[in-house]
Amino acid sequence: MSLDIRNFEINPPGSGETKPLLEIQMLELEEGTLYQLTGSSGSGKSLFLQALSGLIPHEGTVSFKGMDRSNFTEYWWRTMVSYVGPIPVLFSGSIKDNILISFSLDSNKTQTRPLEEELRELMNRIGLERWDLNANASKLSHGEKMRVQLLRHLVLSPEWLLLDESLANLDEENASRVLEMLERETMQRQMSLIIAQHNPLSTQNHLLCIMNGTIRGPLSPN
Amino acid sequence: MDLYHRIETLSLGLITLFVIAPLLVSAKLSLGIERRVLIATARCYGQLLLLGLFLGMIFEIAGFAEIMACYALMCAFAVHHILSAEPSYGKDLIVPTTAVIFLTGFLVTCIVTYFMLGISPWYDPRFFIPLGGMVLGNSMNGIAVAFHRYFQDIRLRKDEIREMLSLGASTWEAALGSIRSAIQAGLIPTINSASTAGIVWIPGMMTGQVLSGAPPFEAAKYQILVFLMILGSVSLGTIGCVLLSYKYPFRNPWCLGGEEDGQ
Repeated sequence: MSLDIRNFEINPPGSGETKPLLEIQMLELEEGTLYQLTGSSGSGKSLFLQALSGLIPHEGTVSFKGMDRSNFTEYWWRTMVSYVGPIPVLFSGSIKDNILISFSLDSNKTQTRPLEEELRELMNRIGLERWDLNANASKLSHGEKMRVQLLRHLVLSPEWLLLDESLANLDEENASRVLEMLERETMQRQMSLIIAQHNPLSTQNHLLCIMNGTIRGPLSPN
Repeated sequence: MDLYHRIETLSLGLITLFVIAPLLVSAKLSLGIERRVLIATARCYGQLLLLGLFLGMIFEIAGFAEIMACYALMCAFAVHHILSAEPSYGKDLIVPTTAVIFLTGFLVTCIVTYFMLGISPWYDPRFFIPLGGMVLGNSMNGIAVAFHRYFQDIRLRKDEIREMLSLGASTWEAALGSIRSAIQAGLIPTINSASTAGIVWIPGMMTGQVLSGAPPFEAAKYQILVFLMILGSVSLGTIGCVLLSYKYPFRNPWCLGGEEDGQ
């Protein structure tokens, strides 16, 4: 079992509610799988993903391959259960600088940087083939910025990638292209994926559904 | 020869005539500042005359304990002023801000009175209180600006900080951009005033000394000492306060995330 979630609760401060916003008795998520997380606006999709990656507090336990989260360093957990926000964040510099920015952080200094060819290959697969790696990142469109942000997380080879409405601003063609690429990466890197999205992207994936303050599923494809 | 030129009580009263101009303009243009001008005038008379009397008393007593108590009170007011502008983190910041303000102010003022001016005793209130006051006042402004900028910048960069943290950044790495801009914002007014002094404006302290009969060249030397003293204490105070407080927004992670759907 890759991720094992038990007695999980999210209680945002100042909400005035006595009941937690999200409550999960038990949820087991397999590795190498792509999950889609659906639910209405305000149901807690973002909060669930942020809590899972350790960005906001939660009650209960989350364990990775049978080891409780407390056994891992904060940095390791945040990079390995990596949250990608809905608004693309770009730093000053080229596209390449943006993709490789995490390797300049202390906690990732020992990680091997991907080679230039690998980056080119990833750029092609995600639909950024028209861009030079050294082009200024500020010239990218919103959807392209989002894809650069995705690549930035992918090159760190996380165990889990949590996408929060990251494909929502892409047109249908690009969204399905990115999804296809992510499905392939999931297989290749033995990575697991949760994509939070209002509307399900395809029926080929395992479905998690937030309803009435808890998560139903995972439901198998079809 | 006593060069000191006293102001007559009558002149001090007549100077209120200057207030009539803003009052007339305000009434004519409906600026609505008449009340504020009158209150400011009254406060200016009241506070400064009281300060004069109070300093006179302190100079008479000149005991170590009284002077330190007076200095501690000035620090407390400075800290209160800084933190009243940041109510959201007010309580958490009391300890680091007080420690930094008190220590840097004290250290800089002591070095100046003891080593540079060679005053004996070093806490002679005629030097320690006015110099300490200048140090504290300027540090207070620098720190208040830096804090304001830091917490505002962290809020504005929320998405960027969350992204950095998700990529494995430490709190320091994620906050560094905001730390830099806060320290710069805190120091720039002091740097500007030190670099334009004497060309654009004649510093207040030098003006005061010249008016009270000091040779202008001696007054200039004092002013240099005061400027560099202020530059030192503002830098130490601003850097110290920001470095000791930068983690506070991260202690409540709900401030950095937690909004549903992030839109």
